[in-house]
Amino acid sequence: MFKSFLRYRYKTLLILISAVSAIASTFLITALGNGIIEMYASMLRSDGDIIVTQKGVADTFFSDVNLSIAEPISKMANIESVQGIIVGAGAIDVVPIAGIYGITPNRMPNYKLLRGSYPKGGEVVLGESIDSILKHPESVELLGSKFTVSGVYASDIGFENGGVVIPIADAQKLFNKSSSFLLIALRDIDTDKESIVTAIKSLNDKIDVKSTTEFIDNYNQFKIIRISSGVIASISFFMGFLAIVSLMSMMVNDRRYEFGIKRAVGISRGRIIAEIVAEVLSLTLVAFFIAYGLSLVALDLLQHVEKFQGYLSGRIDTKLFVQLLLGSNIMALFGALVPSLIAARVDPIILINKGA
Amino acid sequence: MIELLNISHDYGSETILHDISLTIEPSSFNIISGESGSGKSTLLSIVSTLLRPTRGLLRYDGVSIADIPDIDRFRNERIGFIFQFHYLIAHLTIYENIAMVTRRPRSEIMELLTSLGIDPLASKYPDEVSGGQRQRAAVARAIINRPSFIFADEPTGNLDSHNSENVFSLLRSLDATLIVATHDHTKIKPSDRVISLKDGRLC
Repeated sequence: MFKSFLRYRYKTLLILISAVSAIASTFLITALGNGIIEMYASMLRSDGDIIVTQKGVADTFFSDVNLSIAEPISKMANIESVQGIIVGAGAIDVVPIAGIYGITPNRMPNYKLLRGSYPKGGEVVLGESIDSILKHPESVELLGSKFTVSGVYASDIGFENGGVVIPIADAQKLFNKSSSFLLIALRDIDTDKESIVTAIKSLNDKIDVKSTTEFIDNYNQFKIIRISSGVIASISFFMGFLAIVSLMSMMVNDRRYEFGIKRAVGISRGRIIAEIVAEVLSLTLVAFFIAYGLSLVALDLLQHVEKFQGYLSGRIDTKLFVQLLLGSNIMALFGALVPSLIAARVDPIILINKGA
Repeated sequence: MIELLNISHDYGSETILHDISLTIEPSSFNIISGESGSGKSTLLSIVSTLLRPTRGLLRYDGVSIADIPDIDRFRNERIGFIFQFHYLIAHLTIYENIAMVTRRPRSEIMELLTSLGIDPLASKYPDEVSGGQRQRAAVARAIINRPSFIFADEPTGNLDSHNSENVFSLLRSLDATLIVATHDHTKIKPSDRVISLKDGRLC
């Protein structure tokens, strides 16, 4: 049944390459789009069951929360820790833009030190990627102020790996704010979060308090990224699937002559269509798994390309895997079945004459 | 018996066959003869069920082909067709081209290939053998199921006179109804009937 692949090996190879490209590009675009959201969400989720932001400010970059409320919050029942964070971005030496994270001392252990020590005043720890880009400097300039490098850390979150961490007091001076947001960890995550949220809200009327999960689901920036990445992924899905439909359709159309001969000698339409379906599905499955493997390799390489500072990080989750597996095979079947069913209605001699 | 009742066929706005009615007797040897463009290949395609006529009725043993429930199976079991240009499938070997149309055992297929003198070519692909050998393979494919009706469109065009004679001897020995389209029927002798066509009409 699969002898036609071997007989027309160059044509098969071209179809395979095209299908692999279509599927892999869909994998990459979707995974990278989701990766941006996932990186920032992971950062917020680490040690954060509840998040406190400035009321009425949609973006954490512009949010300003008075850090002084951290102390009364930490004294409330069932509170494990309260971490203050300033999230900013700016030029770091020759790197035109990178993340600058000002954090309270109790968040420092979240950054796994590869060498050196956590920063004190006037010091900075560099993410592994930016340290490599800057060729392991002893000091760096952040937004015009000089900082001594006290160490280097590694983080699984690309944003953090490509940025720097400084004490929150230094960040307050650089960004002229108290903190961007507070992350609150609970001792017992099964407790009633709502009562804690209400209690925290009562401390200050300029803050907004949400569970981190609720915040991530409703965060405007994520919504924008999610919509943009959704649109790009949909276009990519559409283009990729359209390519597969066209390829399979061309493959079947190319074989109308063979289809005609087989029908002329009395091979049933059902058997011919079943053979085509088997061929198309096997070709698409091979293309899918090659594309999946290549995408995993490409995502890993992209994450380690110095130029991208680790910001390009994507993960292919089960949902995306299943969506693409089903999508590519359904589209391939559609592409193959439509011309096959049309051809099945045409008289054999016409198929032979048109295909010859 | 095959009956054609008022068969006409159009290609676009042009009528290729005009109101053909004829009866073909069982086990007879019939030649459809005519100049190039006379409509003989179209008539052969219609009679052999490979092309639906625009108008008219085609009956096999009294049953209209429109009433045959599985036309593919009917074609496979009862009709053999030898095309002018052999039309073998390029990615299958000579043996596979024949085996794909039948459930008969390998020994029987090889025996037929031997009788046509192409048994050493069984594992070759069509583009690895000569035009005459391809044509003999096409003959083997057409007759392997011992059909009741054999149709051939210029079947010996690629064969020398010796192989031509061999093929016709084999076809005649099958006790099937033979219908052959050719532009020069004088090269095929003897036949029971010559159906002459001119400009899509019987003459």
